[in-house]
Parts: sequence; structure tokens; C-alpha cells
Amino acid sequence: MKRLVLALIFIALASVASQGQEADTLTLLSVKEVKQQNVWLSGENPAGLSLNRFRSFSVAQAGYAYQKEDFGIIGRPTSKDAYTVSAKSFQRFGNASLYGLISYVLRNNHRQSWNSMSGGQWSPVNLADSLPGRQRAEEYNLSGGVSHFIGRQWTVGAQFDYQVQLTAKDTDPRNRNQWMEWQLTPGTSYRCENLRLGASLLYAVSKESVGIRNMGPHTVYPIFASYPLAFYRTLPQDDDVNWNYRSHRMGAALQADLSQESFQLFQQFNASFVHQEVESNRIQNRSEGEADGWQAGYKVILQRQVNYALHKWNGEATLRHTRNYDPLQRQPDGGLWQTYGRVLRSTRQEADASLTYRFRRMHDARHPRYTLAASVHYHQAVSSLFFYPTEYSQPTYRIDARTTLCRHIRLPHNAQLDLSLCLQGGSGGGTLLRKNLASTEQGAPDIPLWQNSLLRQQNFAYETGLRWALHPAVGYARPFTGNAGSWFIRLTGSYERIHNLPCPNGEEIVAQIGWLF
Amino acid sequence: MLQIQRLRALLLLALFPLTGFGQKTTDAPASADSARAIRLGEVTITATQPNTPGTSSVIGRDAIRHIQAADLSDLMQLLPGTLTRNPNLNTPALFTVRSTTYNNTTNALGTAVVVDGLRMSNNTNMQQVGLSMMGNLFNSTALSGFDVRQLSPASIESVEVIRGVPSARYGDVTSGVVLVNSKAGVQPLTLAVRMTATEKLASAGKSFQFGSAEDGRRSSTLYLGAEYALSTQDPRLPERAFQRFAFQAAYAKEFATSTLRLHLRGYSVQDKDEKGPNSIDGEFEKTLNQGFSFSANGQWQVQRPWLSTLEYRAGLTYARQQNSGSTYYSGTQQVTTYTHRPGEQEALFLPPNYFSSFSVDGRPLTAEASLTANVRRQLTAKLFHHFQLGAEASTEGNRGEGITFDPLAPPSLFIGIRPRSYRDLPFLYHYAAFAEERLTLRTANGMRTELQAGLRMEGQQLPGITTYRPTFDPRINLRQVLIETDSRHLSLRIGWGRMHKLPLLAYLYPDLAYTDRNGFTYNDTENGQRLAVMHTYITDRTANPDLRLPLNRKLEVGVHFRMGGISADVVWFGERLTDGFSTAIQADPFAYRRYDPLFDKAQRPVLTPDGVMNNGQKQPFVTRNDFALYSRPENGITQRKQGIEYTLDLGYFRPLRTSLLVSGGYLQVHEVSNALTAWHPSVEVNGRTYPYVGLYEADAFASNLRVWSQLNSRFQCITQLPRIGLVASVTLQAVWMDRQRRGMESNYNNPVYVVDEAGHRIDADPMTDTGHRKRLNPVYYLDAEGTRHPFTTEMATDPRYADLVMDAGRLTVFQQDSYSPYFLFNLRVTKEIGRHVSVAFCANNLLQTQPKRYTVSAQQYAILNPNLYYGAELTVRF
Repeated sequence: MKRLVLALIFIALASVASQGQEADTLTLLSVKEVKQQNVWLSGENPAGLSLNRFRSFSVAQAGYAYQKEDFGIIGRPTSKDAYTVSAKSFQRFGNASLYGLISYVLRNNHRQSWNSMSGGQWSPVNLADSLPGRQRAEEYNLSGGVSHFIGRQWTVGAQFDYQVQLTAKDTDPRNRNQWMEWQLTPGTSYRCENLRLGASLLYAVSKESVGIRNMGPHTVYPIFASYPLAFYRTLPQDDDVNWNYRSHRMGAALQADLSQESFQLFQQFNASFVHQEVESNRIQNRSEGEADGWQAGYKVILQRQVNYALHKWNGEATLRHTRNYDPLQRQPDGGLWQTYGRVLRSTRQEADASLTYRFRRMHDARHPRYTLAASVHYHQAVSSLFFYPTEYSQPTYRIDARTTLCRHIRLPHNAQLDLSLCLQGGSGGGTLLRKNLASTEQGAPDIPLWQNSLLRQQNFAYETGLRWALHPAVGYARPFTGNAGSWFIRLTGSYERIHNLPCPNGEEIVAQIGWLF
Repeated sequence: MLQIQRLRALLLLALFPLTGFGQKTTDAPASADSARAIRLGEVTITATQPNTPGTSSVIGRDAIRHIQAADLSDLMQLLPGTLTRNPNLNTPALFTVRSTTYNNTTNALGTAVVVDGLRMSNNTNMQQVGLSMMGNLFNSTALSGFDVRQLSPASIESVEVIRGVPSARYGDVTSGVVLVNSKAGVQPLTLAVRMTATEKLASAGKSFQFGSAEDGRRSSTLYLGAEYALSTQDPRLPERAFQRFAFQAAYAKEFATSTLRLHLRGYSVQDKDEKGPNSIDGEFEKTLNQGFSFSANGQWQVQRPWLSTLEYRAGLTYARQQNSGSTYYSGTQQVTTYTHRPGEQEALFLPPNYFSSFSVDGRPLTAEASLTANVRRQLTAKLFHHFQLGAEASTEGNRGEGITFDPLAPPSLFIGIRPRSYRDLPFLYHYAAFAEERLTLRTANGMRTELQAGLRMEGQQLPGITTYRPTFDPRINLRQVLIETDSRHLSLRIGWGRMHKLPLLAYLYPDLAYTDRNGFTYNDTENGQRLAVMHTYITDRTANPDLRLPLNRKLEVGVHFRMGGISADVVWFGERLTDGFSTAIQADPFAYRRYDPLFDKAQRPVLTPDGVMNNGQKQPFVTRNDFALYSRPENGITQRKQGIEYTLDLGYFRPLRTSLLVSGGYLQVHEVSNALTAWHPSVEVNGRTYPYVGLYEADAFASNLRVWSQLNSRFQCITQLPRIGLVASVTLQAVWMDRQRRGMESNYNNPVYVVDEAGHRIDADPMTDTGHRKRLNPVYYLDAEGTRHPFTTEMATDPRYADLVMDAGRLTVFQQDSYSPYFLFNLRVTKEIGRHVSVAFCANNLLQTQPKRYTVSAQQYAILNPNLYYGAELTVRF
């Protein structure tokens, strides 16, 4: 029944429009290819939709993914499977360009523990339990964008992205999470001869409501509030746990695009500020934490097309900083909670830098012959937790290199077979839980914190240890007769090995089938 | 006009910026005849006002599909002034009209749900445990409105909700009438699947045509449809599930001078709370409701001067309602009795651990038939009249097995309740006649006067009850069309009418009330000797001839205009409901023996007609006085309502292909429940129960008045992009004012008063004071003989009676809660794909906006707006 339902939905969505996960090693006509043709789609300005050079492109696909690993990483299950149906479309109507996306994902995370959240971790404090169970999640994504030429030089656009997800665990203590995130991005661009400048704004809101209950009558299992570096505290057992998370993010981005004959140079600066709040008892105004953070990034894409050869350099750098606070509250007469301050509980600083070079050789204007890509990525982070007067900190760094070779083979009837192989390896270093003396914060609450040393060591080993991975992929695409587009099938595998972990191996397989039209 | 258009454009740009610019325009018909009609191609996704003198809303199939209704009650949010509510099939769904809450039982009880001409009655629903004292059974709608979850939206073609004064044709109604028209006639094969976070629904339907004649007449069609729905509100608890299977067959045939419509509906609805692995294996609660309805109707074209047409209608509904459950009890050994005889009886020792199962089986059955004669005639060139004369007869009853459980393993829910068969209850017989005249007078300059005036007479034949006299309900709707051209319309309308609600079987024939008191217990487990004696007092109120019929009076005044593509409809209404059904606690004094306990082992006490004997001697005892408390139906509720409903259609803005509608309402509800209800203080005096019972015209908060007022608006942008077959509606719901408060209105000059810390009465307004306690004296008190005495002011400080004074609890209980404005967004997107497929996405409270507002009365915050709700639907038609 479930498969039938999924199949019916897929058939319908196929006619609408859409997307999916593109294997980054394949060069089928895909959304990735669309972004290849219009670098503005890699940026954050929806006004760039107007720069699409095609009239209509739609893709609908369904996929299945299975992943198995037991690296002991907080937030990751030991295995998971996911079913996906999605549709994405780009359309042009005169001076207007439209973009739409709808997708549905059914995900099962097996033996999930130490994470009672929808997936991503919130900065100040998260909810967790230590009993593994199956966590089932249904996720919907909806996006709509529009861009319009105003005269010959200006374009204006806006995009709205929406995501909802309901997650539930089937083992006590059971969490039920309702996640919602929306993002509005208005933007504009102005063309001056070969130079196009752009500016866009960003406002995003994320919310997650978490309810955790022990539903069995026999045992009341503990529920934890987890802090960075695998510290946690046990929550009182007298009531159900109902926490509400909320995040506001505001940002802006500036773009510059210089096109000169066969060269194109695209640059983007972006920055955003985020504020997160956690409440545990809204009707009595009880707060559990808050966070302030900022992020700044720079992206540059340089590409050069000479005859049937494409050279593309892609560089990115990002800085992130987050400060997390515990509230100072009191509850006079058992009534409303009153906040009289906050104390710094933890911080995290991150820096990322990556550089990618991609070379593609074409058979002709439409058909690629092979693609070679090489990239290097550097990541550095420092997490600190203040348990006054002690400061625990953990600095880590990591460098990874990755190379991909993809061969595109033309077959009769305009069919195409893509074979690719990606090799990835890297290592890092750092200090596991450094203990320092912190400056005393006045009025810091004395909360009893516990720590899970094994979990912390496994996370540290994953972040800093030597690991390598292999990603083979194969894809086949063939057009339908007439103008009905083409269909494709894609199979991607992945094997990852991490040294110094009890269970060092991880595998993943992804199968996709889709329709391009 | 140009300025209006510019303003409209700015509004649309601000509210809906994602609409496609610069597309090639195509003709799309705009609102034709109504402020509430937005037609985009063939799609109408809002409620529309029909061209009638009264106030009502018509909701079509496309609107039902666009809003992705899971049950009939979800359509309420299309009515002006009604707030968004999330579908929830796991709890009973009621349809209310002009109510501030979705679950107002008084309002739902007075809402008539009529499916294909057949009234869906809930009057004989007996799925209950006692009246209100013991609480309702799991997901039961007894004593309330019809549970509309039984009706599958997939089988509905259209719904008309009469919010104003209904035609005299409709009886047994006080709030409004919901006319449901099932799918019939020529329908394509339709397959639909809907998935939300909580519900999974699948439906299929197709019609077959037989014997097509050249002119299309004398042919017949058969429509067959089915639907399955599964709902689990909490994904952590899949064992708590709702399932619905429904089927429908509709046969329609047209003869040369007559028509015939046959409708057969069947449904099986199950609410199950099977705790399974989460709890003790074998525990569950279940509500099963299976039934069918059959109706036949049509008309005969007589075409004589004295009779134009004759309408006939007959119908039958039958249901099997069963509440059942199994609970595991463990712990202390209890003593109980389930005797039907009054006085001292030997009681039962229950085992310390046992499973208890129960069943409440109801088989409501209704049958009705009606005949209506129509005379339509053009009296003069300008005067047309349509006269209706009708007669109806109906009967309803319940043939269920009633309450059954094992007396040796009784559920705690049934303390004070005895097994009772509903087959012993009589059938109720109703008969009604109505006459209604509809006059249309056309005068010069396009002016038109429309009058709908009718009188309905309704009578009952209730076995054992002779106090009901026939009721007469006059109803009038008058509309004066002042201007009517292709582009302009202005009309005024006024309506007035009276409506009665028929009585409920459970209120007419309540069960005996049993009060059991333990008189003696001896339990020598070592020697196997034990005796328990209980005294049972029976209150016989098995007939309730004093119950009156609730009466509602409606008055409304409305105006409708249309000019230059902009139209509006505004109606003011006032309603006054008296004698609304309620329940009140009554008290009867009685005395019983309390024997001295035996402490020695190996005693052999026995119960004899003279009392408990031990070793041949009477066991000493004292006589205790106590009160038997039981619930009794009353006519305690008086409800006053007034409000304004408005709909403003700002027209169709072609460049954006968008229409903007604004609708909403102001509603103030003032509900008083002043039936005298008893309260027995749980204090002891000299080791005995308190000797008096107070009679109050208030609830436990020392209040009997609730006042709600609410002002809201709904801004709806509807966009159609016909080139890609897209219809999207974004709704901003704004609640500008939301107030409620408790209060006290005494019919006995017995107000709530304020006391200081020493308990002395002080001069302060209890409705505004927040620093002192509030108290309420009983109106009367009963002594041990059952004599009713007035309670005087002095008694409040007399220690003998002071415990009868009721405390209101929280110091701020009478403060008004007033919330500042709050908002939410809803999104509906329907995408037609080719001729056969469509996909729809819906989200209520799209941005998960749940603001908190401070509640002064409870001194904490309230979380407003419904939760985020979303889902998608796929429909395939051939």
C-alpha cells in the first residue's frame, strides 16, 4: 500500500516539476547542470532566475537510500533508510521566470539514541535519551521563486522555501518533534555592460516543538538535556517534557558577476545573524537557553569555456561563531518564571575553506565526454563549555581531499551511460577536552552536569581521525520518443572507513529513477 | 475607480508577492452573483451566498477538495467569522453555527445536519454513563450534536449552511441547518489519496449511466463511491487510531413527469485506544459506530392550477453504536453492590486483581416521511408566488442492549450505575406540518421584493409524557432589491424566526439513580469468613415530564451590494436561546445503618431482615443521614448572541490573476446556566457527614455566566495560473479581539461578594477586585429531612452553615481575559496536471505561529492558534 501510494504520488509529481539529490559526479542533464549554466543559482539571489538560458526544465524523481554505520556520532542512527519523491521545475513566461519545488521524504532511523531532535542540533541545549529506538520522520519541502526583468538592466526576484517534518520514536522515552522552517529571500540585480551586481536579503525562521513521554507503565526512563562536548543533565521526571525551540536568522548577500568572452567570474559575500531561544514551559514563561551567533562567507566561481573544454574553479570560505547562554530565572510563588539575566554556557567557533577545480571535456555542445574534479576542504572548530569556574574546550581541525573522475559514454538512440569514481581521504587533529580556569560569572547557576566520555571520544575520533572513502556511481539516461523528455536511473554507492573507531566501516547505497522534461 | 484599482493592486502586491508577473492574460470569469464567489475557470473554492432572501453559504465540491476536508466540520472554516481548525478524526466532530468554539454542545445540539433530505438525528444516542455525573464514554457524542465524522467528504457534492432564519420546512433546530448533497448523477471515475502527518485517506467513486434517451431524459444513473480513512494524532501511539470505511450508492432516474432519487449510505467508524505494548496487554477502549441510511425522494410534476408539484421523501437510518473497554484493576480489595433493590443488601467482595470489561450497546433507529405540495403561479406580470404546504411524520428510538458488564468484575466507571437495556425505552413520535409562501414582486427600475413567510407546527407523542403541546414557529425572510443591473446590485434583507429543539431520549427517560453506602464490612481471610453490607438508595426519576423544549429566536438584518467588480455582504444578527438543555445535581436525603466493626477473628456475622447478626445478637449500629446526589436534566441554559458577519470581495486583479476576499465577523455570546445545582460539602461534623446540602445557581467556580466576544478577519488571496493549471490560496487570519470572562447573574438577588482575610464581607466589586477572595452563598439549603430553606446572609458567618459558602478559588477568576491581536497563515495549492491528475498541498498555520497571551483570570499564558497541520492529496480522474 505504501509503495502504491508513493508510486501514485510520484506519477503526479512527475508532471509538475522538480528535483532530487544529484550525485556530484554525474553529468546527466540535471539540476546540477542547470546550475552549471547559470552560476547565479549557486548563490543566494533569486533574481538570478531570470538569467536562465532555457525556457523550461523540469525533473521528477523517486529514490531510495540505505545507510549503515555505527560511528557513535551524536545525532546519527546506526542505520537508516529513506524514500523520496520530488519534483522541481524552472519555467519562463515572457519576462518572468518561475521556480517550484515539492518533495516528500519518508525516513526511518534505526537505533537512534542520544538525539531526540528532528535531526539538526540546536545550539543552546538539546533533548536526548539513552535508549535506542526507531525514529520515523515524514518531511515535506515546498519552494517557490519568481524573478522578473524590469527593463533591460534590472531584475527583481523573491523566493520562499518551506520545510516541515514530523518525527516520532517508537521506544520509550518517545519523542514527537514538529519541525518547521521557512525562509524568504528577496533580491535584485543590475547589469552594467559585462558586470552584473546583485543584492539579496534573507529572513529565516525555524521552529521545533519536542514532546517526550514515557508511555509504558512499568519503567520511567530518564530524559536528558544535552550540552556540547557530550555533557548532559537529567530532567525532572514528574511531567512530560515539552520544549519549544525557535530561531530567527537575518542576513544579506552581495553578488558580482563579470563575464568577459569565455571567462566568467562570480563572487558572493554573505553574512547573517541568528538568535535561538528554547522554552520548556510556555504557559509559565520558563526558558531553557538562548544563543546568538553570526556567520560570514565568501564564494568565488571562475569558469572558462574554450571550445568544448570547461575549466571551473570554485572557492568558498565561511566563518561561524555562536555563544550559548543559560537563563537566570526564578519562580516567585509557583507562578510565572521571571528572567533576570543570563550566563554564558558554551561557545563554538568554526572556520571552513574549500577549493575545487573541475574540468569537463565535451563531445559536442550538448554531450560531455568526461569530467575530472579535485577539491580540498579545511575545517577548524573550537567548542567550549563553561562550568564555572572551569572551562572545558575542545579544539579540532581537519583537512580532506577529494578527487572524482566521471566518464560519459554515448550509446545508441541518444542514450548516455555515466560511470564515475570518487576517492576521498583526510585526517585532522586537536585536543580532547582541555580543561581551563574560566573567569567567574556572577550568579552562574550550579547545575549538576554529567558527561558521556565514550560518546565524546567517538565524536572526537570521527572529527580528527584518519578516514577515507570511496564513492562509485553509475547512471543511465535515455530519451523518450517524441518530446516527452528522457528518463534516467542512477545508482550510487559509498564506502567509508574511519580508523581508531570500534566500528570503523560505513556503507551507503542510493538508487534513483527520474524523468526529465 | 482607478484609485480603487491601484489600491487593490498594492494590497495584492504586498500580500502575495510570488505571483507571476507579465504573463499573457486570459479571460477568467470573475465573481458573478455573489460577494463570496470567486470563479477561476471552473473552480470555486470559497463559500458562496445563494440567491435567496435568507443568509446561508454554499460550499461546492472544488472548495471541499481545495480545503482538503477530512470531515464535514472542517468546512466550517469557510464560513465568515469562523476560525481555522485542524482536522482531527480522533475526536468527535461537531458542526456549530455562529459559535466562538467548535465544541459548544448547546450549539451543536441545535444544528440540524440533513443529508439528501434525511435528518441525521442524534436525539436517541444513549452512549453514556448516567448523565453528567459520571462523565461520558470514550469519544461519545451523546447529549450533543451529530458526529459528522460519519460522513465522508469524498462523497459530498455540495453543502449549504443556513446560518440565518431557515425555511419553515426545517424543524428540530435552534442553531442552523447543514444541507448535505451527496454525489449523484454523472460523475467521472475518481481516485484520490491523501496523506497528512496524521491522516491517510483513500477514496474512489464512479457513476454509471443506463438507458440514455435522445433528449437525456428518462435515463438513469447509478453512482458508487467508497472511502477509507485512518488517523493517528500522535505518531508515537499508533494503537490510538481512528478508522472509517464508508460507501455510498445513489440512484437517480427521471421519468416523464417525475423524478426519483435513492441514496444509500453505509459507514463503519471505529475509535480505538488499544494501549497494547505500552501498557497492560488486554486493556483497551473502543467506540464502534456502524450504520446505514436510506432515503428516497423526488417530485411529481402535476402541473395543475391548484398543484404544481408534489415532493415526496422517506428515509430510514439505523446504527449500531458500541462503546466497549477492558481495564485491569489491582490493589486493594473493594466492596461493591449491583443490586436493583433498595435497602440493605449483602455486598460483593471484588478480587484484588481483575480484568473488567463493559459494553454500552445502542441501536438508534429513525424513520421519517414527508409530503410537500407546491403551487407556483405567476399571479400578475410582476407578482409571482410559490406556496408550499407540507406534512411530516417521524419516529425514533433505541433498540440497543444498553449497558452490560459483569457485576463480579465491575469497572470503576460504572459505580452507581446498573445494567440497563435501551429496549425498554419507548419510541418517540413526532409530527409536523408547515406552510410557507414565497412572493416575488417586481416593480419599476429593477426593484424587487422577495418575501418568504412560513409557519411550522410541531408536535410530539411521547409515551408517559403528556405535557408537551404542539409548538408553532413562525419564520420570515424579506429581501428588498433596490438596484439590480449587470454591474450593480443593492439589496436589503431582514429575517426573523422562532425555532424549537426536540427533546433527547436520554433526558426524557433518565435511568434510576443508585446511591450505595457501606454499612458493614468484615473480612477474616484466615478463616474464610467475610460479610459486607451495603445500603442502596434509589432515586426514581425515570420520566422527566417537566422538561421544556429549547427555543431560539433569531433576528437578522443584512445588506448586499455589488459595484464595479467589488461586492460586499454584511449581516447583523441577534439570537436568544432559552430553556437550553443542561444537567444539574439534585440531592435526596436518606438514612442508613452504620454497624460497629468487628475486630475479632473467626466471627460469623450474617445479614438478616433485622440487620447484621453476630453470634445470634444484633450487631450494634448508628443511623447515619446522608444525601444521594444524582444528575437531572434541566432547562438551565439561556444564551444570547449577537454579531456581524461580513464578506468583502475586492474583485479580480487580472495582471496578477488574483482575487482578494476579506471576510470575518464579530460575535458576542452571553451564556447563563442558572439551574439550581446541589453541592454537599465534603466536611465531617462530629464524625458524620455534613448535615446540609446547598443549592446554588453556579458551578464550582461560583459563576454561572460565560461571556465570549471575538472579532476576526480573514484575508484570502486566490491566484490562478491557468497556463500551468495552478490554483493557490493564501489566507491571513487575524483575530483582532478575543475576550472571555466568567461572571455571576443571579435570579435570586444572590450575588458573589468579596471578603477580607478574616472572612468579613467588604464593599468591593467582585468582578474587578483582584486582591480578595470571592464567595457565593447558596440560594437554599436542604436539611436531613429534605426540607428546603432559604439561605440568609447571616448564615454565612454562622459556623453551622458557613461550610455551605462556596469559594470562587483564584482571586482573579472573574477578570476578563483579553488577548491582543494574533494572526496565522494558511496555504492551499492545487495543481491540475493535464485532464486527469491534480495534486494539492495544504497547510494550516503555515508558519507555526503560536503566540502566547497573558490570561489574567488564570494568571498564566495561553498558547493561541491551532498547531501546524499539513498534507498533500493526489486525485486522478478519468
